Amino acid sequence: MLSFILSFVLLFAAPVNADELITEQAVPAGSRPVFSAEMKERRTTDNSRRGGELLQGYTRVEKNEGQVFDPATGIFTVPADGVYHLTGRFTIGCYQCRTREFLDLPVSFDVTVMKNNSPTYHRFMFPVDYTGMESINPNKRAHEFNVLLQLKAGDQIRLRYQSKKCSPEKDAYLYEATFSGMQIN
Amino acid sequence: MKKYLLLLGCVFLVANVFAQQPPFNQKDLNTSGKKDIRPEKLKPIEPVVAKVAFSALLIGPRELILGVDGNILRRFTRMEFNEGNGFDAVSGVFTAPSAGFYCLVLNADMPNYGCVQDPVPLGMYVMKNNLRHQLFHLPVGYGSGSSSAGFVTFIQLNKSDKVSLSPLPLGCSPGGQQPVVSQVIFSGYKIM
Repeated sequence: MLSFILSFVLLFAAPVNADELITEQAVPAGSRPVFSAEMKERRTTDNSRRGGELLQGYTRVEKNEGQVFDPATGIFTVPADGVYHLTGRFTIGCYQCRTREFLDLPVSFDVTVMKNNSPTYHRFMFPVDYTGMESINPNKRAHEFNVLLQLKAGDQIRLRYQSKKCSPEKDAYLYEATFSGMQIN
Repeated sequence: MKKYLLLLGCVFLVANVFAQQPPFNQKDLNTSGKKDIRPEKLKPIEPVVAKVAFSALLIGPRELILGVDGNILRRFTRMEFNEGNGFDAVSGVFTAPSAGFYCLVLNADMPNYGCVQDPVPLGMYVMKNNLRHQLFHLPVGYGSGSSSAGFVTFIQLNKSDKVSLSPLPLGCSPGGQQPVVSQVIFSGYKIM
């Protein structure tokens, strides 16, 4: 009788494997990193300086879950390892440079995705048109890009833009820009 | 007293049997509808691949000529990432690891045409199971330099559906200059 009871006592003494316990935690709703910001003012794209201009000083923030985007510096700081979908849209004014040089050698409005202050191969060369009178009825063209990036927590992403000055008086103006992103995986 | 001990023993025995039940495992579920199937005969349920994302880079220049590579954009230079292992860089085919709604992103950099009078777009078909599914006209600039173009699209895929890109290169006149891509980035991910 004693051995019978002891056998159960010993059986009960079997240790519980902690690895088998379910420890999965529900991800709180709305915690996915999402941001969307807008820059809406006329800016020159002339950048004779090397490397171009960093897009910063955004004028409005539409969404900024987790405060991952700094509108002043234009830096998106990656909050967690994963794959991110980033998109940007640029409204560019047309040149009025109908010179032989610019007709033969058209320039592009280039946007580069910068990662930790280094350019990535994600560079977009948006064509710049030559029509339109900027002072009367500015012709504008909108261009956009989409990229998927696999990023690590702490990575810093920002945009850089540059274009060639048409003539001492004429720039290719940037009128609007939006920069948005979200984690997808 | 003996009766109580025996009763206690039985309670312990029953409790012990329940305590030793193995933890719940999805693979042990009998979904066949048949009874009395031994566990070793159960067919494990294939896990759904939830995380799917890929990005492939093609570094050119590569002239796009009708009929070459079976009109499919193949031979990508390298993969940036390939979660779910759905994309094959050699064949340029993405095979959906699981059914769902997908987002596809294409970016192409193309040297401009020299045909100012006859600018033509670069057609790009999204192929679904070797059938033309969607067509995008990517504008090609003219003159020197390069320009970028691309698209974003959404597509419903079943498991093992195959997606690829098929260029529709049109030469411009005069001279019949063929479109060239200097860089292509083809990416996609499963939305839901």
